[in-house]
Amino acid sequence: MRHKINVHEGSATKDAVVPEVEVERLAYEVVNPLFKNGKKYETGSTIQLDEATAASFLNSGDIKEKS
Amino acid sequence: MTTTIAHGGVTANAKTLLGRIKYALGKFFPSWVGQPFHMTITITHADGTKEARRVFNTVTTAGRNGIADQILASPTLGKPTHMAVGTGTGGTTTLNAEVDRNALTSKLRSGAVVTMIGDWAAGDATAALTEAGVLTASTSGDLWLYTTFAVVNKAAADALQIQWTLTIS
Repeated sequence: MRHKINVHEGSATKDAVVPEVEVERLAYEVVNPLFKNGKKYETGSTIQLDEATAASFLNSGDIKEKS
Repeated sequence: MTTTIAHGGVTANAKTLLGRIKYALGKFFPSWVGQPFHMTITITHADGTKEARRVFNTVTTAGRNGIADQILASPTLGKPTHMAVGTGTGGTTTLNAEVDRNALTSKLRSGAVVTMIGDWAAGDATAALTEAGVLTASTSGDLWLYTTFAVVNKAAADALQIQWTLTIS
């Protein structure tokens, strides 16, 4: 999603586009079913997660590194 | 960096006189007012600014049973392990319209206070959030803690952190 914002400089107006945030995601194997962003991931499926989110799920044993 | 904190109750209007009274009383008589736990929702925007909101919550029957169960020699009920957010209201045994559930980032005890933290990174749980809960499993599970709040708009670039404080009193 790209957001368009009107920027006012004095009496002039121009458009600025806020760049999308690129979040690096890696693939992990689901150990316990997960519910992420409105979608259920069953055991054995692959899920793409950012590093921080993956860390908590790895710690809880819900996912594992893909072999 | 700007941090805005609002004090609020379970209803959308966080600045009512009743909400302020409940918040004040809850600090001294948490059990008496029936709100022994609190949570803080913090949104961190892409530019580094933060918005925070404090909210009362409901301890469910499952939560009360679960706390009691942990005293047994061999507890059979699950412990809180995950935190979920959603766009509904009125959840009792689960969130009404769950959007996303993450494993707890941390769970620490200090005295009779347990602090549980859930984090959502940019790109996760992007929605107009109105409810949150603490549960005992990655899906389904028992809902221990639940609350609703005035809409928190989590944009794709925002990070969300919920700090839930459970006080045994």
